[in-house]
Amino acid sequence: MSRLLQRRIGRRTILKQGAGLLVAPLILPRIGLKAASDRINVASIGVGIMGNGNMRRMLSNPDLQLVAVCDVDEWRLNDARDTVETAYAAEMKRGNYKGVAATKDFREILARPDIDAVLIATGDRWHAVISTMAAKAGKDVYCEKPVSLTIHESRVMVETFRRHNRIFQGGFQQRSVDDFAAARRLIQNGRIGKLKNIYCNWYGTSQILNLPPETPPPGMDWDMWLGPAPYHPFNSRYHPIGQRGSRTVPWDIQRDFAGGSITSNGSHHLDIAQWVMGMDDSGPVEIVPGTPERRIIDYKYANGVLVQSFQGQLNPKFQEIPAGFDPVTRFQWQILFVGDRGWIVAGREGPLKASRPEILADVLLTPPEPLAKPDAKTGATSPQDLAEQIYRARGYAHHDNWIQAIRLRSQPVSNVEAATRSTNVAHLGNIATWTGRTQKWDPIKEEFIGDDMANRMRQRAMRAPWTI
Amino acid sequence: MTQAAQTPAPAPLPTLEQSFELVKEFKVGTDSTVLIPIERAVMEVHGNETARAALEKRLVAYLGSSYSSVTRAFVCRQLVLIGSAASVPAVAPLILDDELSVHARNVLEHIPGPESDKALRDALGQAKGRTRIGVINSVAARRDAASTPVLIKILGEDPQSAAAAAKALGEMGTSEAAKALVAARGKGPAPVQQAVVDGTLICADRLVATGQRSQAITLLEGVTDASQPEHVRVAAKRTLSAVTRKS
Repeated sequence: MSRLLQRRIGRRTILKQGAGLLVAPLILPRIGLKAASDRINVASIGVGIMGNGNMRRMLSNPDLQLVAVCDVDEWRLNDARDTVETAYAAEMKRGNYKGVAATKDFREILARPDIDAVLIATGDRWHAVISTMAAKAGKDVYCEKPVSLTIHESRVMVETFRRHNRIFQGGFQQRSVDDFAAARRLIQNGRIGKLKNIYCNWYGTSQILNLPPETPPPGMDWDMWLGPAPYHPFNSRYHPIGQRGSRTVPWDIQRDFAGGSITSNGSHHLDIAQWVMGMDDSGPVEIVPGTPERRIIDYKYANGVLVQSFQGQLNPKFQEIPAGFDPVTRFQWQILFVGDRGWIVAGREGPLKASRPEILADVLLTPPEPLAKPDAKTGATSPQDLAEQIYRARGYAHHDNWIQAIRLRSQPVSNVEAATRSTNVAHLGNIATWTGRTQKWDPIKEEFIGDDMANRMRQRAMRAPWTI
Repeated sequence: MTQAAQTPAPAPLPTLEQSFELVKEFKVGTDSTVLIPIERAVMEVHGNETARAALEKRLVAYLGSSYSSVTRAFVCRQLVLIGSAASVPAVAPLILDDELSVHARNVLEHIPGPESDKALRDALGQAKGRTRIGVINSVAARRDAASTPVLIKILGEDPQSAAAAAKALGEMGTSEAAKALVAARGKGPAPVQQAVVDGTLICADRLVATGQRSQAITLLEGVTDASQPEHVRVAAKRTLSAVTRKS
């Protein structure tokens, strides 16, 4: 955590959040609030679990004013508007605040000239459409990852944001987590020698499901929920009723909506792999799908590095366990980087680990001891709870990076080229998985070599009237 | 009790022949795993033209109106991957079906050759409302310049269709499309105007990419002045700057 962030939040505040805030970050008081004329007016489009979390962080940000919320689910929409208005009323020390527009149609938001930027946390099927429409309306964008549904969408997003000189920040917030940044710096400085392997968690794709119809909740615009995706009847497995949901992205099981765990979770780690290798404008050259026995996707890069996505722990039958690394380590939100002179593990929850102490010399580590002790007075019951809360607090840093880029008209850490390329790596993993064969990929032309079927999977027609 | 004992083993998949029988009765809500053998068969014809053509022919037989929408959507998904001009006559009528239109367009967008272009162009004259907008978007995706006269006509119709046509004309990137976009400038409601400007910027980029620099410069005149929002002016100037550098 940055020192600035530590000052803003403070250890006691973090502890007071409690485990329940795993799905709803605390709205912190805004310190150093900018004048209203200097604040960036933002709208939040999509306020489910991820959107609500982002929205709450924005409410704590002294640079932003949340002026509108949007969701096709009336329950979520009203809940979000009430959250914002209650927070601003409390800040102004008055009984009520009415200044937040609520709409089910994001086009109303894009048509408002007073809105500078939008935060998009809809389902993946919408990301490219709303992002490009926002850019064409002159808005800057923060978009949750994976930032596209197809490789073609990714390229159009890059062209559109470049054309209009708009700021795009992908929601790959691990780039704003100190430990991943430190690992990147150490690896690029040669602390583990020549990089050979990057081991990433998350494996599993989506399917074309044919779920039975159920009755949508009252006030829900199911047609707008589907948006550009082919028609499917409402089913609560896609969208839990009357709640933000217990799974972050329940719809990612359906291939028409998303790419499954490889894109939903896996793209986070693949993004860090791309970043560490300096491949923000490139990608792998060969992708080998997993098999029922070998549940590992290989991503081979032209620089000789092998990136692997798998689930859980390393499999010694197929993967080399580096010397000194605990072979029963359960992977979740950490990545193992292996070089020819050692290894580093970096993760969301910290601390950094390495094969030799000198690899981490001079690195300011996240202090695990003072923060990881359970505190009986505050309700934080386990180090895991606390670590997760600290990670979520780091989400502020990624928003801060976006805001700074908006003010300076500079590129944020997860800019449109980087975010779409990282998302594409996950798409490549899926396409190799769906075709069931090794794919050769040209990252310059963005074409598969010698596989027409795979190339056809790069693009999908959208349900009318939507397009990019 | 172990975890393995609690979890029932998945039912064995049907054979390919059984799967082709089951697809006949496939309805909304039917377990889609019964069709996995067909999906696998599609993947396995890679590199075998004879097998691909045979499987395509077999799949096309399930596009008739006696089959359910989900059956026909499933078949379209397979034809997206292995379809050829031979599929076009059976797929084309589905463009006019509101629910299946996106699936049919998806197939046609992926089949190279003039047959798909013609099917989509013909549908432009028959489809209505939202379905026609989808066809406009598919014509744009294929950059079928022969559709330009119809798109120009649609520019004068309802705002949603006109906006889609403006964007499609931009994708064409031809001098004829550029002239139509200049003529449409300043006409119609705000969403159409925004689409005309968007189409103009896209068209200019396409013209530059094909070496038609002077047409691009002419097209961009009028979208660089102060009446345009900053994000439009910057886009136009970016392209103009690129043209100047190359000259």
